[in-house]
Amino acid sequence: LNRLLIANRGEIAVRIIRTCRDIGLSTVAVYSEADRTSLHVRLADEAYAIGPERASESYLRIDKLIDAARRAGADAVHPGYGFLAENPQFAEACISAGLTFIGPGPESMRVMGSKTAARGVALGAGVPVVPGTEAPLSEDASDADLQAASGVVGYPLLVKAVAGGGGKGMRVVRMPADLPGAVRMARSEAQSSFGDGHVYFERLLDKARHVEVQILGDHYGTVVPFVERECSIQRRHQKLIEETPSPVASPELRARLMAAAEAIGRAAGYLSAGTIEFLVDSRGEFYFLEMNTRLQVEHPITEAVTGVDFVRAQIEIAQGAKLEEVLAGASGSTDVTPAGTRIPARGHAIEVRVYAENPDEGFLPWPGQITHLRAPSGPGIRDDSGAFEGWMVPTAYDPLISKVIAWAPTRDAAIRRMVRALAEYDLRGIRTTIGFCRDLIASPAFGAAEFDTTFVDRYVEERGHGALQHDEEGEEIAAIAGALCLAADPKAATTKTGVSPTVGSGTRAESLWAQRARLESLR
Amino acid sequence: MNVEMAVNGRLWKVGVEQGDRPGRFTVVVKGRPRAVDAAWIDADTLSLLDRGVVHNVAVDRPANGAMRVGVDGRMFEVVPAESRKPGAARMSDSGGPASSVAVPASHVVKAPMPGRVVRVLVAVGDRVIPRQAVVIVEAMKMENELRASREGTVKEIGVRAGAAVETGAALVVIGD
Repeated sequence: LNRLLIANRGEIAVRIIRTCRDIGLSTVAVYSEADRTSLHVRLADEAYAIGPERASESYLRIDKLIDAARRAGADAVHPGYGFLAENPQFAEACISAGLTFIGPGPESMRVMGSKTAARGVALGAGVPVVPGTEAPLSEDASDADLQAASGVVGYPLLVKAVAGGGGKGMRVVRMPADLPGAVRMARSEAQSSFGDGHVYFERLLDKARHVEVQILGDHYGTVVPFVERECSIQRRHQKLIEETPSPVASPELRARLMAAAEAIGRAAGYLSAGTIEFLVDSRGEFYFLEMNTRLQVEHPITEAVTGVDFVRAQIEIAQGAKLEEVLAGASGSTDVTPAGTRIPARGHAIEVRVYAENPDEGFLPWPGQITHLRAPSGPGIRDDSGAFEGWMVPTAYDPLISKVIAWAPTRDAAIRRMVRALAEYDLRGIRTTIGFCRDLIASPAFGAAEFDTTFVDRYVEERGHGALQHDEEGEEIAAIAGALCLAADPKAATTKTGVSPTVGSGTRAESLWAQRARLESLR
Repeated sequence: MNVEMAVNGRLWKVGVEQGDRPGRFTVVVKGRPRAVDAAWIDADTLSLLDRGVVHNVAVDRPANGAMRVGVDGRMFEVVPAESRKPGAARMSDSGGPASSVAVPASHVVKAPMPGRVVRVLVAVGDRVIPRQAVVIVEAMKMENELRASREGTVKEIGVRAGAAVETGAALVVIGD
């Protein structure tokens, strides 16, 4: 392979471009009209326009993506996550156009990507599943049909998109009266996000943890599972914070989860990177939930504890490399890893997702222009971002703008390191999840790993009460800062560094550049 | 110079005197003077040394909200006292047809973010109860249900399905 087209945008497109540069592949970006100035376009070797802002007319258009790949002379396509990543027609279209698709084959994608069919595969592999409807609900099902199907599953239940992922096309229903509306919204969201409006019902397990196992499969039938990821910190069924290993998995549970994931991957004849998601109940029993037939948002935490670059592994596997070669190369060790063995995990890693959302307003999307941006760095910190200062975060796409990953030898040290990194993260102009996640991670409940998938909802409620308490010291400094900003003549306040503050928004951008140039010259 | 402002809703009075050297101030809080060294990194970023203790101040002026002052990563809403009352007074003085029928803000379901109206779930004259969904707005690929905050009757609907709305747009007016 020489030239890879990334059929995606945002932080994941940037992340894939980085690995391609590392291994000497040239990169082709695609962009909608809303993304002309986006980071992934600027970091790629080539970039092609694929249509208007609306994803259904750009990032979801198979014909335009294949056309861009032809024009660029690309020989491979990486779909990232979201958009067409789990769409078998896209994988097939790539293959028929003579392009290598970096991901699983369309057949296993079709089976495992359909949540209802995947449940059948898991049962066949001897892995228990969460109770639910066996087949997708008919599109013309009447309200009475829906009620009948829900009666079999029982309340509370989840309406889930058969083709879903990332919490989209999913609704919790606690009372039969809310069912028709929830089905309507889930279908409409699933149709616009995945181009497939089919939904099914699944029992909502209370007090459950969401734990998942990353797998890699090669062309020769080898499937290797990795140490589990704990993903219970969610809002709207979308993950907010992930960590690995799970702070509550016993060695025995870990071994069983990894063996179950390996069995499902093998039964599916799985190729490339995928993730098997489980629910673990309060008794430590686990159930297969679904499989994601793509690279996950949270893959960097597994990279942090294993040293494996999963994008690189996907590319090598697609080129026919054996998994044992891929993993031996990835670990930097001269020992060849025998097929079927486990990759040892070192230390603990946590990821925080930075969303353009307002945690004080029920996590409503909060797009706008980023006026200031300084990302954290230093020991053990990785920031995978698609953002930059001055960027207008588009309203048309997912509000994920960046991911912060902290690695440390122990969980306690990783927590402290993440708190430090989030305190360093200076992102202004829009509301984000940074401050919220910092408080959450520093909370005693998170430290004690006392959580399930309802943790964020409960934490938000407690925080609402806590907001009435005053941070006297912080308020005092804020008052002093506010007074200085309002009272001090900035010109008279020119400091010994020689940096004078700017006044008036018209000259701001230019002045900032001038200031920065002066700062540089002082170094 | 004395400055009054509300920080997270509580009133603070702060005296500021320029010191003998640039960036040096004497600040009076709660009747006690203290030496503060302030260095502006840019117009909205301030390095404060409060009697030697380092504080990083990040002023955020979002296009659609109040000024927020970040102190070491914690955000505080800061509203200058003088800018509060005159602003409110001007609104009522100006008159005009909209304000002659005073509609309390809590009776209007507003768009909390820019987006597209997917569906209007109520019609004028409908009775609604608290937390009943009245409009679905799509933003960033999520459909968000906007709910009534009180019981009442739908008096006015300001949008149709498919309409693009800006932050603060009045979507549904609920009266008695």
